[in-house]
Order: sequence, then C-alpha cells, then structure tokens
Amino acid sequence: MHPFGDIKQIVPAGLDAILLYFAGDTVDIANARCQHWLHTITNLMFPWLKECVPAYDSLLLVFDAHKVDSHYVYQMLRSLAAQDASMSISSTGGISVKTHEIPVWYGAESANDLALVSQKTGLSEQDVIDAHISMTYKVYAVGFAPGFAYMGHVPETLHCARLETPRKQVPKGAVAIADAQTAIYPSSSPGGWHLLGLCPLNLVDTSHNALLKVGDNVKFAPITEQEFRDLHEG
Amino acid sequence: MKVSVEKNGLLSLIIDSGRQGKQHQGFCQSGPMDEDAYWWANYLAGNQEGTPCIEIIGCAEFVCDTNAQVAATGRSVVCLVNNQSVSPFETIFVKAGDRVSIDSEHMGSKAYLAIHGRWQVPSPLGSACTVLREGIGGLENKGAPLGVGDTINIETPTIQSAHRALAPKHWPRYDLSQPLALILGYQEEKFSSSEKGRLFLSEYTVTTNINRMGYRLSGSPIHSNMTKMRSEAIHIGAMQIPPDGQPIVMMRDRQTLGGYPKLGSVSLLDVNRLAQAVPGETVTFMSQHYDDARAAFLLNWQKRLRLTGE
Repeated sequence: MHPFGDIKQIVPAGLDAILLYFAGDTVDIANARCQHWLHTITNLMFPWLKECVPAYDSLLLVFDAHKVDSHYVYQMLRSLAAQDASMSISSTGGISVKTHEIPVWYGAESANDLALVSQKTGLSEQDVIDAHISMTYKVYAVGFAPGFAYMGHVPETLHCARLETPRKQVPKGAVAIADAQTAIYPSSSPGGWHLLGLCPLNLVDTSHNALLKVGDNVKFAPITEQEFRDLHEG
Repeated sequence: MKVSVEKNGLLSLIIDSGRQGKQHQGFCQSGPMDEDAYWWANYLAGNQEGTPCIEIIGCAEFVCDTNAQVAATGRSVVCLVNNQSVSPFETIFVKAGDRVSIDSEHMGSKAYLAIHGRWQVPSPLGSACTVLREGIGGLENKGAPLGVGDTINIETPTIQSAHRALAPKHWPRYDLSQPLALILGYQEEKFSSSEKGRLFLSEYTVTTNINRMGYRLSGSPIHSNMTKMRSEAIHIGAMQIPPDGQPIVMMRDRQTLGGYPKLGSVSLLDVNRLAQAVPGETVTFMSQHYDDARAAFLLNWQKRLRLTGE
C-alpha cells in the first residue's frame, strides 16, 4: 500500500488492521496530523471500524474483517484525502489546554533505578532528578494501560534505552523514562522503562476517566517521603 | 437462577467477546483467549453471540440452583456432572444441585463454560470482561476473578431450547505440529532477511511466562537493527521482539501501546491455537500474506454458519 499525502508509511498489523505513520519534520507536526485523521475518521463512524488507536506519529485502524479488507480501507482513506484538502496540515494547529503539576517522591524504594540511570547517562543521581524536573512535558498519547500518558520530551542527557528484559511488575504510581519519553504507571503492571520515583495521585478516577489527556502539559515537582504519604490517594 | 462457584481452579474469569472501541483510552481489548472455543460454547448452550461465559484454567466446579443447560469447550476438556463424564462440545442438561466440574488434560489450557440465559453481571465500558490489571469487570466490577462461594445470577427462560452438538471432526484443532501463521508487518523492514529466516526455521518453546497479556517464547534470538522507536498501538497477535531477541506474542489483555519492534502478527485463527499451548510445548511459524490469512478467517466463519445451519 503506497503512502500518500501526510501519510508516509502504511503497514499491515494482522489480517484485520493497518497502521498509518504520519510525516512531519517534528513529532509535534506528525502528532497534529495524526490527531486530525483520528477525528475525521472517528466522526464518520464507519460501521466496519472497530478501533482507532493513535500514538505519537501513528494511527492503528482495526476493521471488521467480515465486512471489509485492508484494500477497501486503503481506498477509503485515499478518497477521504482527495475530498478533504485540509487533510494536509502544515502547522501544528493543536491547542494545549491544561497544565498539571505532578508531585513525585524521587528515589522511592519500590521505584528506584536512579543508580542505573546515573550509570547509563553519566549524570549524578541528583542531576538525573534535576534534568527530569527541568522540562514542561506534553501528552502525546494515552494508552498501554488506562490513563497511561506518554509525555515528551525528556532532555537528551537523560535518554536511556528500555530495559533488556521488561520487568514483570512495576508499582502503581511509578514515574518512569524511556528514550525521550516519560510517564507515570497508573496501576501496577509489567514494564520496560527506568523508574525514577513514585507519584501519590490516582491517574484514573472511579468512573474510568483519565487525569491526563492528549495535548495537556505536565510539570513534575519533587516531594519528600512524608509529603508522599500525606498526598497518597490509595 | 444462581450459579455458585464451589471450586475456582487456578483462574476462573467472567469474560465475553471483549471491550470494543476503548483502546484509545488505554483499556485493553480483553475477550476470550480462545475465541473459537468461546463462540462454540455459547452456541452449544443456546446463547446469543457475545453472552458472558467462564474462562477456566485448572479444575473448577459449579452448582446451579435450578435446572440449566450448559456447554463446555476448549482443548482436551474434561467435563464431569456428579463425577460422571459427559461430552464437551454439546449441550448438557443439568438438574438443580448437580455438580458440574470442568478441567483440562493439559495443565494451563483454557476451558469455557457457557450457561444458558441472561447474565446479570456488570458491563463496564460495554463489556463483562474481567481485567485484573485494570481492576475492571467481574462480579463486583473490581477486576476480581471468581472465588469460591461467589454466585452468578442468570435469568433463565422458561422454555428449554434444543440439544446442540458439534461432531468431534469439527472441533477446533489444537495440534501444534502445524506452524502458526505469521503475517509480516509493523517494523518487519528493520529485520534482515536472515533474522526472519531464522524465525521461520526455528522451533520456539512456550515458556512459563504466559498470561492473558502475552506469551513469551524461547528459542533462537531474533534481532532488529532498530535501537529506539516511538511507542505505537499493538493489535492482537503482534510479535514483539525485545532486545533479548525472545519473541513475545501479544494476547487479549495486552497493553494498548508499546515500544518494542514488532515483526508481524500471528493470524487471528492461530492466536486461538497458541492461547491453548502450555509451557514446554514447541511452536513453529510460517509466513502468510494478510489476504490469505483473511480468506482462512472467512472460511472458518462460513464453517460456523454452515454447521449451525444459519
């Protein structure tokens, strides 16, 4: 399937899904194009569309294989692009709304890879923490687990690849980094990121709504163990 | 009718066909690990498609407080009513108080127990599926598996429906000597042809590290020439290759996004077969084009329609 317009690559994801990748000189441009396609496709409510899952610069389309095939979906996307000139977005166009300040107990015992990160990056443990809190991060995607927000960009000095073998259990609230990304684990789960500390807040409320949404801004603020215990939401 | 859980085995979960359209919020697909066995269980118990049922690992036992019609399916399922062996893959009419026991010959395989009627269980975000990690679904919508002493309320119709059976020659095939079909995709360009060749020529052992999220295999390591990538959506059956080179096939409760390179996807039909494999068994892979995989999927669907007279 040949790419066209803003879509730089299309790959199969099984017999009932394709994955689109968006072009852009920066991830922000690619992400804005992804969001635009997501909204256009979602609003059309195609009866054959089962899932539409965005990430940084990619969009997974899962279709009902009883009804259509990937060639049909591809032709549908091409005809949408032909109809809608605004499918070609040159600017980011996104509007960021909310800024969250997220407290973090850095170096909490159950979520502490500071020594490993220090070894991999050559920074001291305090420099690792300072680098992590130095940025305002943007939420690019929500997924992996309910309310898990992928945020960027981590300063380059702090980049380290994922663990060779993912951990079987990462604790709820763990604040983690992988390459240019940072995130908070909303619940206990397996994971391959390096852990810096613990956040005391619940990231998903009792009605299954996520605290962090795509486009939001996030700042991290260091807290002590005692402050963590005071703020802990259980 | 109340169905009481007398024994819960290693893991008994209320599941249905899955939670659809919520992956963009991070909620996993869920649904039956072996969709074929699940589908047949509901049909044979006289239920509508998509009705909840119980996915069982180990030996579980249930008692209904009124007469009921049930069906058990899966790989090498052992089904007993009051210690008398009864056949899987057909309607079983049980009397009030009968003890229905479900087990699998292969420790770790999944059995499906369908019970006729309208299940009175929570359906958060449109599905009764229990997801432990997300704390969602199950009897109290807290993601808890069934425990001993739990009761499931099922509204049963007054009229009994007909006996239904699936001939053994039509039971799902769980033979692992046939390779699993892999549809190349995702980051396949980042794997050299010799790496892909090694995957298709090697045997992989199912490890003990298997669950509803994914199945870790062990064998000849496969490497991509990618050092980092952006996290992206993961569809069912995706074969992730972490840096240690040991493939992980992503299953029903997989995370919705992930950042390890993926070589392709195990075909939907073969996800069912892999789901029923147990630690120590070996599997092999063959490459299949997505059009051929879809044709095989549609043929299986037509077989269901033909056998059920629809």
